[in-house]
Amino acid sequence: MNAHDSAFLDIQDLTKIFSGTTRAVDGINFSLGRGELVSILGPSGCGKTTLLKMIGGFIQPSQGRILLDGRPITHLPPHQRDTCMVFQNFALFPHMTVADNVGYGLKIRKLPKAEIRERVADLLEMVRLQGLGNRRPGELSGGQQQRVALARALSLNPKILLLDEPFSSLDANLRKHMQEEIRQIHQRLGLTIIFVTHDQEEAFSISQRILVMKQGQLCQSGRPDQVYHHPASPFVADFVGNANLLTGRVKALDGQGMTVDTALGRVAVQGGQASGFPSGAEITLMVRPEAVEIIPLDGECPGGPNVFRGRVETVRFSGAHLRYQCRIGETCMEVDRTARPGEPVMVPGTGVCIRLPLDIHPIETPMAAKAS
Amino acid sequence: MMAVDEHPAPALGSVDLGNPGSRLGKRLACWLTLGIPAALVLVFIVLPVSAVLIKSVVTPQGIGLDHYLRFFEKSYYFRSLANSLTLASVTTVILTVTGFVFAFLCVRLPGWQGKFFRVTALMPLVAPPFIFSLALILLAGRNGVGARLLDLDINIYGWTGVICAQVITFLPMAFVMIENVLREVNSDFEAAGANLGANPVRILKDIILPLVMPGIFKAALLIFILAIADFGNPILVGGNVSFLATDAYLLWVGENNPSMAAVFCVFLILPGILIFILHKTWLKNREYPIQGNSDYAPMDRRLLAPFLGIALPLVMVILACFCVIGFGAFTRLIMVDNSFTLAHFLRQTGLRAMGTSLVFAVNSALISTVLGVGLSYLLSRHRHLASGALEFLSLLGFAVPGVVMGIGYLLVFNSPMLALTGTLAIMALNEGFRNLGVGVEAGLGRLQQMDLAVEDAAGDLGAGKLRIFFTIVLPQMKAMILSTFVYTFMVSMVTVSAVIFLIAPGRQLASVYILSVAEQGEMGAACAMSLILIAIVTLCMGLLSLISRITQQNMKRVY
Repeated sequence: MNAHDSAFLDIQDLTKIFSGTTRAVDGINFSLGRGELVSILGPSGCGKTTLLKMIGGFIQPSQGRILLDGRPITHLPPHQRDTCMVFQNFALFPHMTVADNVGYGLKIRKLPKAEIRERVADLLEMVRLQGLGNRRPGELSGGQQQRVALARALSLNPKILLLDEPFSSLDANLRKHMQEEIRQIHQRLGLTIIFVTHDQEEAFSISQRILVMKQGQLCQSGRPDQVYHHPASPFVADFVGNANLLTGRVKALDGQGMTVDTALGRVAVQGGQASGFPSGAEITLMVRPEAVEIIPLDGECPGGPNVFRGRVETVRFSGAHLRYQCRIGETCMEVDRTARPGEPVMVPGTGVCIRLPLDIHPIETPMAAKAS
Repeated sequence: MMAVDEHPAPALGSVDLGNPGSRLGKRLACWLTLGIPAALVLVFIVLPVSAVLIKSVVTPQGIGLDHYLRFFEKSYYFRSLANSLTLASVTTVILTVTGFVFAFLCVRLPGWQGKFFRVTALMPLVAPPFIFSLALILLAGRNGVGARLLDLDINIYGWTGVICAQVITFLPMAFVMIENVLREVNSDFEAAGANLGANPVRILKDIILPLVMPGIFKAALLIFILAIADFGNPILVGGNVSFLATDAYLLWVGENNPSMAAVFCVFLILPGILIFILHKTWLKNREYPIQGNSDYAPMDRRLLAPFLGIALPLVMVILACFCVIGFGAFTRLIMVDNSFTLAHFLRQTGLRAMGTSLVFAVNSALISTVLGVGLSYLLSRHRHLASGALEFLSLLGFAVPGVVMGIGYLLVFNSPMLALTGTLAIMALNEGFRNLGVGVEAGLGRLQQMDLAVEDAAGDLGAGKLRIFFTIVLPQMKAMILSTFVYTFMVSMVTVSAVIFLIAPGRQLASVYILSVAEQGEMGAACAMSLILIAIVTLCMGLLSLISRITQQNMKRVY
């Protein structure tokens, strides 16, 4: 689905300035299609929660507009904008029962008691907590509390569900489980969901689209695979997974691609993005560790482009793969190799050949990095 | 350190030589280290309180409840109890509401507006606890500012006066306790409520109030106990209305009826005990973890108007009280002859009382601090069967109303064996042991934060227990010790209720002096002395905040 066609939620130039100077959110623009599940990903302090709270109406923007379904909601109070939020620590009312928590919004809407009871039962069934309505939140496990928070947020049929790092307090297994549950609810209800997280794996596994933020600004928006393989900046490359970043200058262009002078030597780059830079431009090349090939040195390195000779510095075993840190001249490169049983491990000091792929992703080096 | 397991409370300064003789010595030393403070607590806290209890049941025929029967027979005795309970209830209700209002305004209003309510709510703290009665008399009494300038005809003596004075006097306590709990409440609760459609009034009623209720309840209980035990305000503006604390005093001093005074004392203690039990049972299952974010939404206009309607009049009364005290101190006879004078400050009797007060307060603060801190170390680092009981007893002096402690001391230390009455020593001991709990609690609090491993490390390097205490533990507690000293000094400077029984001729204290000259209508002298006390207390509070600021900075530097 192309988000811009329907623009269910439209964020225009949204900015929040705290205490006069701190630009927590700095001129953000994006739009969302109906039924999309989008993650806002960024390091802590990047303004992602502030952005979410502005969409939810808990923080007033300093400037900019928010349109939901064509209706401006920028200055509406939280309950009048058809959004509902699941808070980081769930914010379940500890003095009310689970059923009272889930039914609180309905009670305020003055629905008849019987109807509230029925709706609450349905909601609890949806999050698989039937029968626990009379418990207090304090008597539930973290995952159960999470589900109550979800049921409560869904009770008023919001147009958009906002989730603020909802799994950060759960342990790893439970987190995976809840992520799956969110996906299922998303599919079942066709709900539009915005999900804030600082965990890239979580963002990848759950969302259809990822918005990467840094220092109040939107760095990139795209499908998880796009963001991973074609990051828009060195920051995104580094924040989303591991990346080898090589700065260099475009040397020559031809029909198939370009060659770039780097600290390693001359690197050939081919493929779609390889022709977008003028000769002499300073660019950064991004290679994921798993895309690099490592070959034990046996006399001579094989011929062909992008092969460099180096030495293993450290090796780390992390279950699924082995990560080699290799030195090629002055440059360090990380190389991942699938760890198969019985495969010999190259010890530090081993001479190796490193082969970079041809479809390296080139990134325009940002101004700040050029200066340094 | 094999022996440690067999001796849960190793002695101070002992060296483990592993032979039976040293073990015996160790056990002895252990009993001595806990025994001496325990004996002191017994003599100076437990004994006086027990003496009061015993006195109330000793009759000419032996042990019996005759005095109690008489208490309930005579309506003028019984009425004191009823009046005190009514007074405490009314004051408590008013103060939980106003305390909440001030705390809410302070937490929710931005910048200086919030600070303004904080400062005004805390202002009464710098004044000796009965000064507002004095101020109210000057403001609204028969010859007061109100009567003279505005032609108001209020009878300040009696219920109105005592309730007003108590509300102002105890506002800081209510405010601080409620503010603390309000600041803890996770703002996400409110955000969630707002998200589900609750308006600010609804959020207050459905979410905030139920969550902070345990805190408010605790504040209410404290206020209730303070209001019942209050002595200075009822005696100054109580008028013809009788209250337990003041009547106990009058029974003792005026009617020479110690047995009935003792019965009154028992009724002064009982509410505290009942409330302690109530506290434990009511709060069960009602306290929830509520901490979290604190980005509170700005105060809503629907709430602002009624809140300001409650807070602002009280703010004006508080400010007027301070102004009138200052005014009265520098005028010849307030509202009669308003010409400037310094004569009130230069009265010989007043200055002598101030001097005695300083000596008294330094000594009693030393007792509370040295003994309290020492005891807290013993209690925390040398867990012992008896230590729980000892902690409770050391706090007893703090919890028992001053009037009871005053009468208890007279009962115990008037006997030939312990003839201490009429000396400054007994006054200082009384106040020092009443504030012992401050030192113990502060010490326990600090010791809990300190890493035990540091002391173990010193032990590993060969330091004995005594050496560890003086070179490792004490230096870490410096700030806390200083704070305790300043605080107990400050409290001792303004205390009235217990020492009023123990004051001997020629040993007048400033606080009691103010009471007596105010009763004689010499308002100028009372105001001048009050102003000096306010200055001293303000200075102490300044010192306290300086100490805490310096320690916080040091903390930052270290960690």
